[in-house]
Amino acid sequence: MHRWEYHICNIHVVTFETLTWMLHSTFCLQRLSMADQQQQPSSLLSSRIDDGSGMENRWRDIERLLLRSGNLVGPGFEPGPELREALQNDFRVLVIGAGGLGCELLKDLALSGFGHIDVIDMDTIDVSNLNRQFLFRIVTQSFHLLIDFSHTLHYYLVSAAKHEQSVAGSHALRLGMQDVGKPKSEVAAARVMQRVKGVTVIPHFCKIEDKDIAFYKDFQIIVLGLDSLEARCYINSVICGFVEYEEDGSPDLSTIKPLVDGGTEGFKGHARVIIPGITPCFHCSLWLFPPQITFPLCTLAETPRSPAHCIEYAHLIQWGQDRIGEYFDADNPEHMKWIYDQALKRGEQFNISGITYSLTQGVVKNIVPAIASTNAVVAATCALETLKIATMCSTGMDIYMQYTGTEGIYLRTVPHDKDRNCIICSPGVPLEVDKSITLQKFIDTLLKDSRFKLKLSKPSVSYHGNNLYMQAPAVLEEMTRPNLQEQLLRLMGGETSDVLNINDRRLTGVLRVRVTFREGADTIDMDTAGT
Amino acid sequence: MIKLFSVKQKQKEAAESANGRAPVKKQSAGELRVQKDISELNLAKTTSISFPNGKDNLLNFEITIRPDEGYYQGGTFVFSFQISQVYPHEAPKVKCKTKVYHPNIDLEGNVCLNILREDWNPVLSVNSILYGLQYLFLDPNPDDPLNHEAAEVLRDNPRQFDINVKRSMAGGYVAGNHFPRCI
Repeated sequence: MHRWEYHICNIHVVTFETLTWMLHSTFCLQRLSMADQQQQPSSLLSSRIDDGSGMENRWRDIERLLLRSGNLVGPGFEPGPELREALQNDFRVLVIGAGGLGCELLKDLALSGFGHIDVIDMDTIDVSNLNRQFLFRIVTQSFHLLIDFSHTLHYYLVSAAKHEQSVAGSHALRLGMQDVGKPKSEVAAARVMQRVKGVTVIPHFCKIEDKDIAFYKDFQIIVLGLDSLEARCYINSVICGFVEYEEDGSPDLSTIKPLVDGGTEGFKGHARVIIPGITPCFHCSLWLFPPQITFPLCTLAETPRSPAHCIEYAHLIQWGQDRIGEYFDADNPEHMKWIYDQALKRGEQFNISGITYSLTQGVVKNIVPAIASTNAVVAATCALETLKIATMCSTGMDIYMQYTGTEGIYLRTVPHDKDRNCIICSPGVPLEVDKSITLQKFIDTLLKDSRFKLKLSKPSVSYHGNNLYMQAPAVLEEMTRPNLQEQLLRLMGGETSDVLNINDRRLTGVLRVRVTFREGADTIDMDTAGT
Repeated sequence: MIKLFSVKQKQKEAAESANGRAPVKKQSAGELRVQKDISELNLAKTTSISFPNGKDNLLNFEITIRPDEGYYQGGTFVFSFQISQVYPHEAPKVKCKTKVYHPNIDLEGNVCLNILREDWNPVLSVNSILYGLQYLFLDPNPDDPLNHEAAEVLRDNPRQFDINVKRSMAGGYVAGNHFPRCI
């Protein structure tokens, strides 16, 4: 038996995932194998595989996972040199976000052997990013520029001491602080390609919503380093929308694009795998998220008690009163400074202390200070899961891993249940109808169908954002009434099989019905039979 | 764990033979849920709804309330509703577009209603908010107000408050502020 012990103080729970991320991050990968007779007792220093290039094989560690079978591999694992070639040439991975998680993800994926990576991020680089988003630099490592660096640092410290953060930024740019102000995705892509030979990283400087949906179809795996629920909901609904279903309700595997989602906040983080159609999607477990912290408006106005109350008062109430018509931009330092000044005055008025500029940013933008090690842990886990999904080199995560680093290292992986009635990812109840059916006849068919009998009384029908028929309120009913006489196939834009959303007073949620149009289906009206 | 990618069957071939259907943007979860809320609205005769962006954009709509009793009897008050993509995880953003003299509605249109902020939970719906708004007009609350002046008058001198409300609804000046006519 060959066991590898790793001494780190205060480990509460040690799982396979803990060990692999730690080992992976430091590029000392060894498999924990109990009965693998073929494995030579290798030491890290002595196994030098000469690939003829004159340098040590840079893929040695990855090949240990990909060249041999073992006890912990995934189903259908096909070991061999073609696997690494496939990673290099045949996979396209998309990394969404080039910030704390994104930088780590790009490094990990490039060094794991993925040859074609795209990265998308809508932000530019800020000085505050530089403590952990290591792909972004102040100056290049060049000797005479070290002198510039000390000048730059002096300017920055002096300006910061005078509370002129925006001035420091402009000084920085003038003295040639290399990356501040540039798009994150572009700088990250360039840096990764500089350091890792053979990888191609294509940057996209835009929002994820700005890309055409077809853009996302080009990738096999998508890895998320996002910072908001809305963005995750959006990409989740796009990817779940790609999945097509067979007649028996099972998903067509060739239309499935796995999502690996990571998130961090301070010392805590999570990593999860979403295989749309098979595992729970992001929306299935949205209810697990706690609600946002909001304060009653009257408390803010009448009886503030905490620094956050003062800040929110300035942000929500005073801004509208004193700067009429101006749209508040959280990224504008002048706006943020105004909020901070007003909050300070209010604090003085009500004898509340503890209002700082960074607390103002935290309350207004919901920012939690970021810690580099959390990002490293979560990103390494995500990169490892991506490698497993691509190659089946090990059993995949089931299904959600949480990490807490406040006291020691705590990791826990739990399975989740799929929501069978999820409005985003469930396949929908199948229904076959004739091609010529009108919307009115379709609704009649629904009401007569034994599967829906007790669940429907006055159903409203919508398709992809278009309300085909709304039973209430009266104004909408009037607007949509003409659609009742239209052909359903035409209302659905000619799609022969797709999902309609049905709403009804008797239903607790939305009912998804997967309609397939056939010639001469049973629902044909007797009047039109025989044509 | 299910095997999705096979090396033997090269990815490029799979991509080329993929379904040719052009992908279409689906509805967000927020839109689907608000559709349900709207189709189940219990509109009292004092309340009506309109959709300024057409029948297909249910994320932005307006509610008009015409109280038929209480201090605000006869007035017409318009509220704008903005639903987010993650509704019902987040409460809708509701603002009063009619300038009104009310202890719980300030002059910028911010509405102080607990279920719009700290007491929101995903089981609530647009209906619950409508009940809350109607209640505001039937029973204005002078404790914990947004409009301090109105709250003081209501607390100390309800008859004067009644006069002030009537004057503001008719289109006059109260406490130095002008209110457009809404009756």
